[in-house]
Formats: sequence, C-alpha cells, structure tokens
Amino acid sequence: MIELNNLTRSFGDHKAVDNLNLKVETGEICALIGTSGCGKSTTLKMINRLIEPSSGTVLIDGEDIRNQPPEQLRRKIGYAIQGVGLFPHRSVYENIATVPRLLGWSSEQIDARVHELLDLLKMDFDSFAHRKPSRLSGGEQQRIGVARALAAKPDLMLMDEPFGALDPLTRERLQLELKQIQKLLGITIILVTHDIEEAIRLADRIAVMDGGKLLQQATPEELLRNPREGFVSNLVGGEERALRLLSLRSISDLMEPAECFELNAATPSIEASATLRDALARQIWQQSPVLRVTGENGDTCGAISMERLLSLGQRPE
Amino acid sequence: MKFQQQLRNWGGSLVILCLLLYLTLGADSLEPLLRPLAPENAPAIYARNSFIDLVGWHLLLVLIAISTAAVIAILAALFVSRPAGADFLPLARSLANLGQTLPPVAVLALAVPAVGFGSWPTLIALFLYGLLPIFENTLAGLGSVPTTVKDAARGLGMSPLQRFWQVELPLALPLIITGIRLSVIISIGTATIGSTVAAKGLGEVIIAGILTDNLAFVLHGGLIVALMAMLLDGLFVKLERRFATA
Repeated sequence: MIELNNLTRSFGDHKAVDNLNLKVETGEICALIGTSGCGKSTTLKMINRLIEPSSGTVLIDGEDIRNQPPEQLRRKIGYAIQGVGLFPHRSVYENIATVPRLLGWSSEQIDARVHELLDLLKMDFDSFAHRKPSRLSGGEQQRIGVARALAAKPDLMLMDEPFGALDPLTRERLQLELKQIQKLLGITIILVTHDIEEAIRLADRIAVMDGGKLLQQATPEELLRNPREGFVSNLVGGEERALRLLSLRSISDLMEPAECFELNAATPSIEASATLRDALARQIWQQSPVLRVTGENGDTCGAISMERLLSLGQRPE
Repeated sequence: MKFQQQLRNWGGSLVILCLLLYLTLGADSLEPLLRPLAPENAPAIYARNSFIDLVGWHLLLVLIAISTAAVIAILAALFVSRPAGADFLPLARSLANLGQTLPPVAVLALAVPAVGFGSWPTLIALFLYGLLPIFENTLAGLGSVPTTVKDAARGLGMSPLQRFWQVELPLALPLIITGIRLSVIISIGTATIGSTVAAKGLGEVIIAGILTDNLAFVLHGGLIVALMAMLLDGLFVKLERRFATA
C-alpha cells in the first residue's frame, strides 16, 4: 500500500502540491488526473524522490521512503515517462537490462529476464533485442519503455503520461496490454494522465487534482455517477458521461438469458467481453434493439437489449 | 561485397595517404615536375631537412597542442555544465573566445620574448587557438542529450556518476570529436606560421619558398599540409560516425 500523507511541495511562493492525502492499495491502478500544472507530475515524482516534498510523508508498505537513499529506492520502483527516454546509444536489450545491471544481477538472470519481458510484450527477441531505439516505431519504443520499467520486478510502477505521444489506435492497444500485464503481475501502478478516457479505461481508482489540491478520489463508476460540482464534473463530461459509464462494464455483467428474447438467424451478435458501450453502438448501427451475445467459442450465451443499456446509463436521481 | 564496402569506406583516405607518402618520400622523382616552378639555378626540392622529418615534427606539434587543449577544454566544459560550475560558464566562455580572437601571429609575437624562439611559441598559439571549438562543442554535446533521456536515467536509479559515464558522455561524444577535428584541422594549417619563429615543421618549406621566390617550395609544402589536413579530417569523420547513435 502506498500512502501519501499531508504531502506539500512549494516552489517559491507557489504551492505545486498542497496538503495531499491519498492511499493506493496494493495491486491497484490509480490514475492522477488533472490539467497541466495541476501538480500531478510533481506528486508522482515525490514518490520516487525525484522531487523532495516540502512537508508530509510518503509511505510504501508502511515504511517511510526517506529511510533509504534515493537511488536505491528508484531501482525498486518502475518508472516510465512520456517520450520514453530510451537510451539512444544502447540496444533494446541493454535498455531493458539497465536496472538489473545497476542491481548487479548475473548475466544469466538478466538474459532470462529480457527474454521473459519481450515475450510478455509479444515482441520477438531475435528481431528486436539488438535494435537501437531509433529503429523502433513509437508504439514499440513505448513498449520497451514499459519493459525497462518492469525489468527488476518492481512491486510498484510510476507512469507519467506514458501513452501521451502515441496515435489513438496504438494508445488504446497499449492501454489494454498494460492492464493485462498489470493483472498478470499483480503490481501497483500510479499513472499520471490528462486524458479522462485513459483514466476510466485503466484505473481502479481515479484521483482528480486541480491547483495542487486533490479534489476527489473515487472508483471510475463512482466518479462518473457522483462527481463533485465544478472542476470534477466538467472533467468527466456532462452528457457524455452516460456513454463513459457504459464503457466501464462488459456485456457479460448485464446480459440476460437468450430465451427471454426471440432471436433469429438475422439477429446481429457481439462478444461477451466487449463493453456495454460497444453493444449500444452496434445496436444503433445495425438498427437492432436486441443483440445475440456470444462466448469465446462463438456459441450463443445470452442476449442484451437496448432498453437495459439505456436504463443503466441514466442520470442519477 | 565486403571488400567493395571497405573500399568505399576507406578508398578516399587511402588515395590521400598514397599521395601524401609520394610527396613526402618520393621527393627526388618530383624534381622534373616542380622544376618549371623554381627559379633558374635554384633547387626545386627543399633539401635542408627531410620531408618525413618535417611531417613528423608538424604532426607532433599539432598533437601536443591539441591534446592539451582537448583535455583542458573538455574538463572545463564538463565543470561548467555541472550545477556546481554553472556560475563559471560566462568566464570560461570568454576565456575560450579570447584564445580564438587573438590571431596566432600575434600570439607568436607575444610569446617569443617570453619563451624564446623554437617550438614553444607555436605550441602556445595552437593550444590557445584550439580551445574554443572543443570547449563549445563539448558544451553543445552535453546540451544535446534529450531531457527525457536524462530524466529516465535519474528515475531508473542511476547515480550522478553513472548518468555521466553511461549516458551523457557517450551521447555527447560525437560532437566532442567534431570539436577536436575542427581544432586539429585549423592547427595543421596554422602550425605552418610557427616556422617564422623557428619551430620545425612544413612551414619552413613554404616560408623558404616565399623568401627565395621559389614557387616549387611553396607548392610542395602547401600540398603536403593540405593533404595532411584532408587525411585527418576524413579519419575523424569516420570516428564521429563510429560513435554516432542513430
């Protein structure tokens, strides 16, 4: 568990972060969101001591991070940033091996770890390991950035707008991959973003910041249903909130038994793992109020009606 | 394939080297070629010192002056690029500029009363003249390391020394080499005027040619100097490419 207690950082008279309190449970993804200059990056950098707080403490699993030298602390915490910052003079292999080398792993251990990570990111070892970063696409560079952050098996990873510079398609694919990897490894991630869609898609908990203050922290669903007046409710979007709420859940959560509807061969179908937003989009597109829901093997496992979708997205009383 | 590639890489330098060796070692066979340029009854080939000796002295002067300049300029640039030394940047910069602004001839004239005739005045002039390109290029090289790369190095837990040796220096190296190359090329040419104060080098052939109105000497000495500069330029460019990242 990561605890930020009364964390404050001033630059001159300006309080970049003002008395911030936040708890992130182990195994969670927490998104710090806000406009530029709201203090979210400063907050993130205080967790690995790139910036020292003016006052307040950061505890990781109950231990004050000031109890160890900053370099040692940082080697235990994964760190991935916008623009990636891969070392251009080193190969993909050497980039990934950076922290394990700093920690003095044996070359066999490092070799095994690099293989493992490239495997995890679905990148072929032979074709990628010995390339220089300049010969990678933006998405590939970002993947290697994540691999480098994960190399020494950290329990915690800090990410500062890691997907900010990517095109929308690549961004979405990497977000999904990240979520899968995070689930698989069970690590805690604290992610800085200004993109509410990204926060909703990835995070278990969203912390909204403005002017150095934490305005609200909640699960994505709670944040969409009950945003605090003002900045937060503007951020989560007025009317579009309904669609964002739908995007939080998968069809399998809400589908009904297929027998409740009269499905025929012409009824369009959708996979159970898709989101409710996808389902509504398909209903509109196909002009079909009911969709057949199919499982992984393609068999019908239920049905979903437009009526049910509409009721879920409704404005809270 | 491999041979062809090697030939393309090194062919130019090889041709220059052969020409250089011919002009230095094959002086006797050059006689008929240079004869028409020399005045009657005067020798067409400079004979007071062997050319190979002169080339050696010339290169030695440049080597000593520029390696000293490189060590000092690089250390100074490193120092002023650290937070602790940032205050000294303007001072270091104006000193390096001063070295470049003083014409080498003036430096020679000033240095002779202080250190006497011989190689010392030339070494001082070349040293001062060589500082600026290396200093400025080292600063530019260190400044060209992308912020994201430096941030990442810090965030991954590299110590300041590790960041310097493993990230900043390797990335700045190509530009530092460019600076050294510029200084070497400039000083190969500039070293010729050292002969006016009795430094050994190819300048003495050219100056003897000017004094005796012997165009053959001037051309012979000038060609060797030019070829040396071209050869070293080519070799340094290869070195830069070798350390380039992209």
